[in-house]
Amino acid sequence: MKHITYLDHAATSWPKPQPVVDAVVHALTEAGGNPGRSAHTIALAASRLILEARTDVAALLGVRDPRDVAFVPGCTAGLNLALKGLLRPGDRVVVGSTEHNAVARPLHALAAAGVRVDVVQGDDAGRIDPDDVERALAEAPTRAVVCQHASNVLGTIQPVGDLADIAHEAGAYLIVDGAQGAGHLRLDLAALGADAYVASGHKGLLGPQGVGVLYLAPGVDAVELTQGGGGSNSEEAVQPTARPDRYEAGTPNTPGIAGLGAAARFLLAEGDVIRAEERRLTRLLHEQLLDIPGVRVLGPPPAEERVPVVAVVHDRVDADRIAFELDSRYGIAVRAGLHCAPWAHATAGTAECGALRFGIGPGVTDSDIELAARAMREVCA
Amino acid sequence: MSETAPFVVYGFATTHDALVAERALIAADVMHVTIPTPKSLGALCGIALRVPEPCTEAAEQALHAAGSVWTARVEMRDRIR
Repeated sequence: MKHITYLDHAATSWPKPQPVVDAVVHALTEAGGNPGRSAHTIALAASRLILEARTDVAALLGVRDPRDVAFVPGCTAGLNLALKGLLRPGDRVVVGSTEHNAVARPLHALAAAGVRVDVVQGDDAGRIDPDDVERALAEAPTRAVVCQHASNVLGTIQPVGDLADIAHEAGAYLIVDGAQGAGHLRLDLAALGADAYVASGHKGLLGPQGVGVLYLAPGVDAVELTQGGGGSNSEEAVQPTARPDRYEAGTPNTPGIAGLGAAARFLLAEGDVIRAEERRLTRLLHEQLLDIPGVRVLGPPPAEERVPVVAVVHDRVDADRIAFELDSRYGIAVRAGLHCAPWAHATAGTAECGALRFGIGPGVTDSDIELAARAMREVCA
Repeated sequence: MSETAPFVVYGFATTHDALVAERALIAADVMHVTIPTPKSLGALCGIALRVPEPCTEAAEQALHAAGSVWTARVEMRDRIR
């Protein structure tokens, strides 16, 4: 395989840390039983891997009781569960204007079912003003505020702690899409105040694809979307209510969960260093891209903290053309288009043209940033 | 038919709870075996902990200390035909 300068970490992190790869292989080769179903050696080995992963993911996210962490097939599945499990026809939801389709599309479906969806507009960098949310909540009774922790297009970090306070003051839940927050930002979910926080396992958390994390605060009674076997209470016709079993019907993705557990341990040890390096390289790239004639960088300015996402548009060269040239001529992997986030692009004024997104993660170096900036200059010359 | 020495089986609502309890017993060095949940314990998860009767006091102290809560506690003997 040709050398790849991988700058698409916002889509999925790659390559994975070796302990993650090792954990997946170990799960497949040494712990291949069906967890929670049997008490024989190989099934217990799988069950113990999941216990270990849940405990370590909870520690990483600042969750006091690991049973409040449910493993789901991905961030999208977790967001669907949180939204559809908490919202009913007649409810009102207030939502930020830069949400990913993992939120926007379930809300579109819920709106068709009678949920009122009101959008609070962010500024052109996507920042949601808590005062605007407070004003929106004063207009009508509201069941939930929904907001992403950070934009997958703009990199903007939302003030979710403030939003939690405002939502709770109005008697509403706060549901957070943490797809671009978890891993990139140090988390203490117990202190943050979110009632539901959903994370992708394979982006900033550095785990395998096919697993995500749904955190529901104690007492938040989201109705499960899937009923089925889980190895407990098999005599009963109804889904068990005990966590985490309530939200984990069906055989889990044990190799993926084991890999995510290894990733959590990796981040518990290395996360602060990784995050500092991501911030430094993101700012370096941001500043270099701003120096290129015709380039506009979306989101907040370099001095403002953002997650390691830098999206740009050029005044003459289309984003998809740049992405193709970067890949074919320089071996640079980036993503062009709308990034499944048309709301964010509408907020930034790029709904028609899309953008080119660089995503930074572990393993990216200064020379990768230099190469990306040089390639951009040459392609856009 | 003969009977073995008495033991206590602790049942749990979820596999997570059962394995947290197992961890507590291992950490406290309490003799136990992790077993399939006997049907007679009722609607529980599929994993239970079997503790010899003389070790139950130490087991329950360890479980309490770990904040581990069992859902069922049944004194049993194996019946061997």
